[in-house]
Amino acid sequence: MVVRDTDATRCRTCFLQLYVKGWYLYCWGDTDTLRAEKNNGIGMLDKTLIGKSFPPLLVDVDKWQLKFFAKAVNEENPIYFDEQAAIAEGYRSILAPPTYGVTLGCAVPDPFARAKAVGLDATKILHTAQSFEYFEPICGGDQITLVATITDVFEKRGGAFKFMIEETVATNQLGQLTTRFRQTVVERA
Amino acid sequence: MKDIFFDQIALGDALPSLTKPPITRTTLAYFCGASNDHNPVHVDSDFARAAGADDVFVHGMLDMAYMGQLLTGWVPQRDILSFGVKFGAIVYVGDTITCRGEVVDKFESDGVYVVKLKLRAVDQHGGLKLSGEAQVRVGATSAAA
Repeated sequence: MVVRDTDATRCRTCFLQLYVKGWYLYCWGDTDTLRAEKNNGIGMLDKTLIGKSFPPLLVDVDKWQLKFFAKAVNEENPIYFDEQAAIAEGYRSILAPPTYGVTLGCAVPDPFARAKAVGLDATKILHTAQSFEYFEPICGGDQITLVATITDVFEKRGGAFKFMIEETVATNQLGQLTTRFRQTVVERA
Repeated sequence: MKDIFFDQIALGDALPSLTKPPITRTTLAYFCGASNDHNPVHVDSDFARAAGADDVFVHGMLDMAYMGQLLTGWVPQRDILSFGVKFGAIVYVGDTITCRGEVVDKFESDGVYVVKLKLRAVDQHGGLKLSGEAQVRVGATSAAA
């Protein structure tokens, strides 16, 4: 999008950072504009978002989707797809597998919103690292609150590689911390 | 699952390796829906080529899910304290992933017996695709059990 409001610093419709070129302000979320500007060597990362936490996202842990996930990864342990087996092992319901926090984090309208906000081209993003710390289990039927914070934004090789690191805290409906996970993405050249 | 005890673990011990079936386009279609990662670069060859890739490629989180199964096959999930990976190289359709783990440290901290594992996933040619580490809680001693 292009707007003529030279006083604005953020896109009024999508909240993304704007920057000035001539008389216009361009939204970073517009990848065609972004690509054109990068070809001119103008693209920059918005480091002002480091340390910023985004509004909490509430996500339901769907039993059907846990079963589907188990099928997709050829899971054989029934606690990951059979509620009675999970209950017999002491869980509330079907157990979400160790990496499931990222799946919950993707259950939002635009999983790339934060990456776009810092100036990454969402069509060129690769996931380079992922880590989790574990506390209470996540089970089918849970309602999880996710709060994501951008913890770093940086470039390597003179801007050829642009990185973003974000950390997400996942809390369940009982107010218990379930997992804290950290994701690193890079925009490939 | 066999119970694991601190006093029976030695540095260098290997976990039973886990080899998954070859990854097909169907696998990727399932994982796209199951994981909520709907990035078309993993399921739509036309999109992937337009984006500059040779073809669709595997979600890094699928490889990490496989590595998670290596861990949950060795200890109950509630005993995994931390788990992290770096995605070293792209995995393609047709690749067969094998996950391996090795004990690199063990220590006691506040009464919790912790084993630290080095993790590696390789393809059918032995190429390293994913590396990482995990810390898991184990029982203190087989004698007390």
